[in-house]
Amino acid sequence: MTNTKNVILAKLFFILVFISVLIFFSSLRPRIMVVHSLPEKNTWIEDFNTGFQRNLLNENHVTISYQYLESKFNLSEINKLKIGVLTRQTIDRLNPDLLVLCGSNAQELIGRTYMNRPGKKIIFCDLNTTFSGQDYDEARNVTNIFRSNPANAIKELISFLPAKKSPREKIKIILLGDNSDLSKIIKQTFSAADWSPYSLIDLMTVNTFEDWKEVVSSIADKADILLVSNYKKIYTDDSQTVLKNSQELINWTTQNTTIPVIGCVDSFVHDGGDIAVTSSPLGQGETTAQVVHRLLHGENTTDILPIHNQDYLVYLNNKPKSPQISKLPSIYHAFAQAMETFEKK
Amino acid sequence: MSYTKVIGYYLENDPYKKNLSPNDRAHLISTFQIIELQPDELLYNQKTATNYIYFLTHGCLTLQTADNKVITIKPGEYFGEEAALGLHAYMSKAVARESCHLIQISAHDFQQVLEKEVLIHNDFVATYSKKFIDSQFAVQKADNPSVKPTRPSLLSDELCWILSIIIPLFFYILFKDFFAEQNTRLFLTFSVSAFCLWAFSLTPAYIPPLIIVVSSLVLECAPKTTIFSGFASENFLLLFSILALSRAIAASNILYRIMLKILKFMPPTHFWTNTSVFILGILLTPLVPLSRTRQDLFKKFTKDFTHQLSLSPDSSTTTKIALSAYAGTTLFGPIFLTSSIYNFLIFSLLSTNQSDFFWSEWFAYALPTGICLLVFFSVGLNLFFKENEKPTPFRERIETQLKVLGKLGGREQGLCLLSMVYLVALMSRNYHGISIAHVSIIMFSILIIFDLIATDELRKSLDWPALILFALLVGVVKSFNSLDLSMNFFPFTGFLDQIIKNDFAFFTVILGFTLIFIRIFIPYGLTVVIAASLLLPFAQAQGVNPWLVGFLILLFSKESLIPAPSSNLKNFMMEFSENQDVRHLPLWRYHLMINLIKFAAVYFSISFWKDMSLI
Repeated sequence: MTNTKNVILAKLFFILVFISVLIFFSSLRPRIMVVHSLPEKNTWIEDFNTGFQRNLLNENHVTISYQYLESKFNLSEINKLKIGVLTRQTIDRLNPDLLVLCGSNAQELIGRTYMNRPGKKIIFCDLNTTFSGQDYDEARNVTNIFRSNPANAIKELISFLPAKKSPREKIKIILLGDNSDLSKIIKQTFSAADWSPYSLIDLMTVNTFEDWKEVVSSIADKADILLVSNYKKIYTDDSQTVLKNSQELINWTTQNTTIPVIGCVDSFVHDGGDIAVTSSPLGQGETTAQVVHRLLHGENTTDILPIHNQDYLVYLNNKPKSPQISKLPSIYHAFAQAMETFEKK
Repeated sequence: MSYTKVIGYYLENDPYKKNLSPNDRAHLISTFQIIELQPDELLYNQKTATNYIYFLTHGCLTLQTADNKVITIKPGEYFGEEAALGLHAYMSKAVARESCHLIQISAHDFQQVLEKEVLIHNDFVATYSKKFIDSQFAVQKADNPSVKPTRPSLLSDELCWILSIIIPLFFYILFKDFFAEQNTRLFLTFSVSAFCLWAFSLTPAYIPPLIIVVSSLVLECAPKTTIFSGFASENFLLLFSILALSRAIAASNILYRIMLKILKFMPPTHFWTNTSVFILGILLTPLVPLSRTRQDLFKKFTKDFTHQLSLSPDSSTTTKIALSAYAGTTLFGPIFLTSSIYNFLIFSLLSTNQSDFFWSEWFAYALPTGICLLVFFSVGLNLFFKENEKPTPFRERIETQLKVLGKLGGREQGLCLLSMVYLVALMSRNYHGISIAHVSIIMFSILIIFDLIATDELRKSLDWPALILFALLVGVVKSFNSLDLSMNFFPFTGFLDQIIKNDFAFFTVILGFTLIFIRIFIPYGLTVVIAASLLLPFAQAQGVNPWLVGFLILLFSKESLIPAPSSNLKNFMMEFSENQDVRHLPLWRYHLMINLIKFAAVYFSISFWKDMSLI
């Protein structure tokens, strides 16, 4: 290990070659940027990323980076624009080959800028059917993955519930939720779905806990199944300053109605509900990874038709309060346990 | 003048008695030779090689320089500083003016003391400058050949660096079709480059795995959690604590004291001298987890041992004792989990059943081989090596050294107690149920709280590179396994499948010969890493316990088929030679003997492993 002049030169040459080779191969790697509309700590986002990375394991010669707009619930237009500008600057700096845009804000704030931009491929994922494509349908570098509509899964679930009516009578369903964006999306999605042989008779939104109580107290006379969409923005009173505690709200709901209550958001069971059916973030992530894989292997965005993801998740409570839900086939328990969506409280 | 009187005078009047630790003083005393000079007798002149420095205890002596300057040396003074400071020749002529008694001290041993004691070193430089400042003959000696890192010199350094670029480049091009996956090919290409650096010994051992880790991280060839798994494992903490304990023991007088006690009571026969050093080496093995450190530590002891037995440096008896000592510190390395970082590496790679092979279990499964090695080595040593000198213990000197060391100090007592408690904790893991890594951290805390190892000592001498090397290697091998590369490298999988399943003895012969042959060209660590990466998953797939294959890799990789031009053994033996050169015949004999007894020991252990369902 003597350091003569020649040895130092040889060492220098080795280091230069080493660094150059690293830079060269690193620059050849396709770059993927995933832009989420929701914050990083959101469980839906975490599960999406898990599904995405799990399916991209075999495709590990890529560089993946993540951006979180965190502005989904921040309605201030100025903030939205600022975050959009910052994210676009980051995208221009990192220059990804493939953009995965999740959620409506990402699509609005980022998608428009890079539509038809040469050298960029865009995947819109987590789209709701009612917002399909917006005005991006004309874009040549965009492909769409739609969020699964859990209406079919809910219909299957209802078919397994012990019937209280004669088979000739139609089972009536009511959807109840707050006035949040999420509730509006679910409302629109559900109203567009085919519910036969059942009947979705009403889609109700309320603002206060008093209104909520009123609807729930009288619902058993009107419907056989209550679907609950988002409920995080129910206020305690008309002043609309204090939000009602979610767990108290759901516990009250399940205790004061005789019909089965089915949640449409993942937090429903954690807050005390019996069962919830939602679109699967894991499945959404996995489907997105499959599309990424196809694009990296030479397919064009125009070759890939819009994909309607059909995966959903069932969240189940260990001790359901509704006797009908407690009699569900054991496959539901097994599925919830396998997917770690089984609430053991 | 009797030995006791001379040494007594030295102990009273040594100007550096407060600077030297009892351990160093006791060690130096073992190298002392008492010399008596008559008036006008010449001790050395300006052409004499500088092998010794001297301490005058009685009489008067003068040093006469080339420019006729005369310096008088009085009792209680050192002279011959040139030897301690690394000069080729003395600067003066030393002549006794009256009847003199003086102590002759080995320059090599004194230099080791000076390396640690800066104050004494500075004082020696000052004295030397004062005496000979005008003289122009001083020529700095070349680097000590035993200290300088050496490597096979067939190729120049420059060429080796260039080859470390060219070989991986060819690998990348030639294996383009064989490894179609770009990531795999890149990982292997960088690995080949790093292995070249390692094989050519161009960098310290932890740099090549660092190169693989950095390139894997940048190119994301393997998951980050896999690459850093070595740093995140409990074994990292375990190794860290054991390294700290071994450092504390090495810095104390315990081992030296044990050696002196053995010498004091040991019968002065060839059998007992060889057995004593061999057993001492084995005892040291599980306590010091690095074989190089173990050898460095034990080299000094064994040298003292031969001094105490009044054996001449290059005699056959000394060679035999040195080989016994070397075998004691190396042969049993694979038997104890804590004797090497590579043992920890194999242990860390047993991902599914680590707890089945922890310290006591590892020892129990390896014990039959250990016993066979012990028996065969004792027989082989007597067959292959003969003695020509009778050992004569210098009991008076041993007594003096024990006196210098004094009574067992509080730190030493604490260390003995802690080591015993730790050993009990290791053995009784199944009863107390606490992870040994956690026990080790508690032990480390006790070491620091009770000041059993000085924080300075820890900072200076804890082998951080070894720790980092271990963590990096775990990451590298696990990354290799995560890419499922093992099977790709076996073109004869069908052939090996049949052998490992139907005739394990034949498999060990093939494995052993391959490893000892490969070891001629590449270092031990690299051999273990490559073999473990390839063979452990293969063994698992064939239903053979990976621990067993790992154990065989550790056992056979330790020594090559033939002695390397620069090896640990050669460095070790150099210590026992007067002219800094080693006779080759004993090295060849040793390699032949050790390899034979390893094959025999494994052969006799196979039935035990079959009974234990490891095969």
